Amino acid sequence: MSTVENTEAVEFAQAEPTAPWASVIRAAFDRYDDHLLGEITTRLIKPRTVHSREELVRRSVELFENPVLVDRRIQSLEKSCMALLEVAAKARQNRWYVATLAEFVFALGWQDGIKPVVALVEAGLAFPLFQTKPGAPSTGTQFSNVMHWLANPGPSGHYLVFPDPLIERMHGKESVLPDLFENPVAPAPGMDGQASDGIPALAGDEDDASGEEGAPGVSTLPAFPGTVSDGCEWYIRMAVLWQKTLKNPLRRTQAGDYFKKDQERLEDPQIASPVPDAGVDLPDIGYWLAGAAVSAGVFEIVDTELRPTPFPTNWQASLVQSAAAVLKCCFEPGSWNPQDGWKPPPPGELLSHPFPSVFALAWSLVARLDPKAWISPGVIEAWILKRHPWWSGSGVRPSRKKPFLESWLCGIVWPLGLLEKTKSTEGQTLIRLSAQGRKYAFGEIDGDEFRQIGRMLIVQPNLEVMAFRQGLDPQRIAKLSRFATWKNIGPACVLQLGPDTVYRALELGDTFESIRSFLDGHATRAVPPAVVDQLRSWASKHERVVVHSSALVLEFASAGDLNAALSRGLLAVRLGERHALVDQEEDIDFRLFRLAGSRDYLIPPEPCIHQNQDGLELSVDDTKSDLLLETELPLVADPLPVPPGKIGRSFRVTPASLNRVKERGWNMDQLDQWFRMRTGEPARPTIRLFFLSKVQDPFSIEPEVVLHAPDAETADGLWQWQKFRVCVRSRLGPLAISLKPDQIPLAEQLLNEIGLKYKLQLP
Amino acid sequence: MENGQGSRIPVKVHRRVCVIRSEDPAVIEEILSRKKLQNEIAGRLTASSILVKPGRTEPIVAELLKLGHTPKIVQRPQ
Repeated sequence: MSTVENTEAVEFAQAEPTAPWASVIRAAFDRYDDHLLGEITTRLIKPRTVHSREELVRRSVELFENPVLVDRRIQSLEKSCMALLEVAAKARQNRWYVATLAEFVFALGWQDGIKPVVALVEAGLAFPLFQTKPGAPSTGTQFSNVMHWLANPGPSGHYLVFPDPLIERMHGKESVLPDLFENPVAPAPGMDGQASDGIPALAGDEDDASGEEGAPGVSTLPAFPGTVSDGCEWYIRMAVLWQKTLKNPLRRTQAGDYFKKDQERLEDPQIASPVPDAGVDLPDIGYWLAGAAVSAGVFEIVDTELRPTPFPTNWQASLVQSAAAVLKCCFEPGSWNPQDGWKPPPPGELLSHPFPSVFALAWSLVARLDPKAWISPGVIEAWILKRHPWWSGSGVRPSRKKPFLESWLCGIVWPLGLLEKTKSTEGQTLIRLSAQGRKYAFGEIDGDEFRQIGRMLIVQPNLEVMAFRQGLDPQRIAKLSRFATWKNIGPACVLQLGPDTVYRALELGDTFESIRSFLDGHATRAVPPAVVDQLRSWASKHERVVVHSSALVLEFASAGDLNAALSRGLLAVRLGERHALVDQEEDIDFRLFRLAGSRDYLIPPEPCIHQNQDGLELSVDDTKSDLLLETELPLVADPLPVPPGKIGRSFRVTPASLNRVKERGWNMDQLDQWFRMRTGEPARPTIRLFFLSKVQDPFSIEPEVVLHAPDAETADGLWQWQKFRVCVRSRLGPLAISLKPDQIPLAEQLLNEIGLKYKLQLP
Repeated sequence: MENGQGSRIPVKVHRRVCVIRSEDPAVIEEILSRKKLQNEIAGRLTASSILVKPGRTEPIVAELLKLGHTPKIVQRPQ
């Protein structure tokens, strides 16, 4: 590895960062060959001496924990790279699609959109995303340079990740993005073919310039006071969607669209109605909400299903972090956009549309403005579209030129409480960042930003809970959604308590005490005693029946052995005289025990019963038997006393025991299957005889007159002779024919006719 | 006590068993007598527990809910 003398080398902490971004860095370094790793780490950590590959990776990861060094690396970047990082920081996203980054670099006026992206990777400040299982060794192509990766990104796609500490350090740095107030008429370098690495153009052409402060649509004089949303709309709707899909998750077709019944669920008015006061109507908003819920961790994608999860931890963190998780879906390629609504790509085609870069850039430009200034979304849109590569050129269809940015800003971002909006005297929509939006964009400490209004609930005797929105936040919405169902959404939302909702909460880890203390702590008046009693009753029922879906059961030879084990400290629940249930296998000290047998119930059982000759006596091999056998065997057979001096249990199959089997609803096939599973052989004929005896025709016992022929040929001849057939009752075997007693004289006459000798021996 | 303090106690280990447990014998009887559950239940293991056939937890829980119970479900990490 290379050695570079440098004064920046510092002592690194011993504890390695364990955040997800650190895993991404390690996974990326794993895929770099020695040459590329050496080049990147030389730029990043500037090592003084030769280090092993592992040491270089460790030091590189730890560098991001050092703010001074991170700042120095940022300062050494070109402005185009800093612009990328600034947009990422303002959007509060660390994962980006490469094409999105390239698009907004180009829109900001640099001609080569990919160059800053490559520069950031080569500087060790951005890392390709390689999705590997945690702890699994990295496999796949080793990359020798960044272009090599760009050409072969693999199944993870062209995604780059910026380490979180790097993004955090971008907050507070001087902005390199254009301010639409300050320089509204500068031409767009790069767009007119000039090389540029300076601050790019800021507004449209000169003839666009008008308005009080210079830029068109920019105003500091709104006609009405600004309105800020309570920020709860999307969280409540996600909670509603979560509740509606708990039992039947949303499913997508192989083509990426939703099934018809799920489309209907996503168009439910509770989820898809226009956001009150937003002033815009977004198409297919339910579909966007499902995507946002995936981004926010409310759903996880398993195969083609969107499965509800317990509410994600970032809903417990802060408003800003919750909002960042929701907006994440807007900054990555998806199947929804405000122009077309829900539009999954045709099968086999990649998601590709320019909206993520426009959204990120638009948000950053709004954040760049003077905090007191208002701007029209149309101005930002015009500014971006004039420079964005997707809309440049003359071949853009008119439908692509439909305005959409106001819909996104007012329809998606405003309901999160990040924007303030109003109308100008001309009726134009004006926006600016809200206080919460500034915290979002500028990374301000957001530790205690949940609602300060503590009491916002009214619990009614009819088990309805009224929740006033000014006191709601993601944390409280998540909590309420666990134990009550959303009925109405409005300024005062109504939720319904019920046994199923309380049961759901208990299953998610809540307790009666936690539900009660939440209601007590947030209700404006005392919770009615009848409601408390009802909640207690439902919760107590929860403990009455416990279902262990995958328990570990210890079976002892005797009650004394179980007592001995418990007295030696075994942590177990006693199930009966000889059985105990253990929650954690790790808690068992196996040094105390001698393993007499082990059985895994997800593996088919092995034969553990030996049959005697007629199949009626069954001996159990206790080393191979299982608990299921203990419940099955007393049904199929009766226990036999153990003879003195003998070890092992034996059972006998009797007609009475088989009657029990029949009463239990088993048929012969099931019994036969049981014998095959437990003995390795089919049920013996004796067993079949006993089992089927009642369903056959009744037996008859009677005297029989039998003709014994000297050979089979003679018997066949008599059997086929029509005249003689009148005397025959049945053919008993090759040589034996049963005769009808009343036809014996005729038989004798016919035998005499053909000259056969016989001896008649009748009683 | 059959085993001295120093001897190792013989034990048979049953892993990933599906068990319903209730301290109320009436609940156990109610579950055992439920016809819809006959195909899911292997039998009574002890006075306070029922053995369920492997992998049949979901229909059991659904039926218990229908019966008005709110069973606590304990799952061990696989």
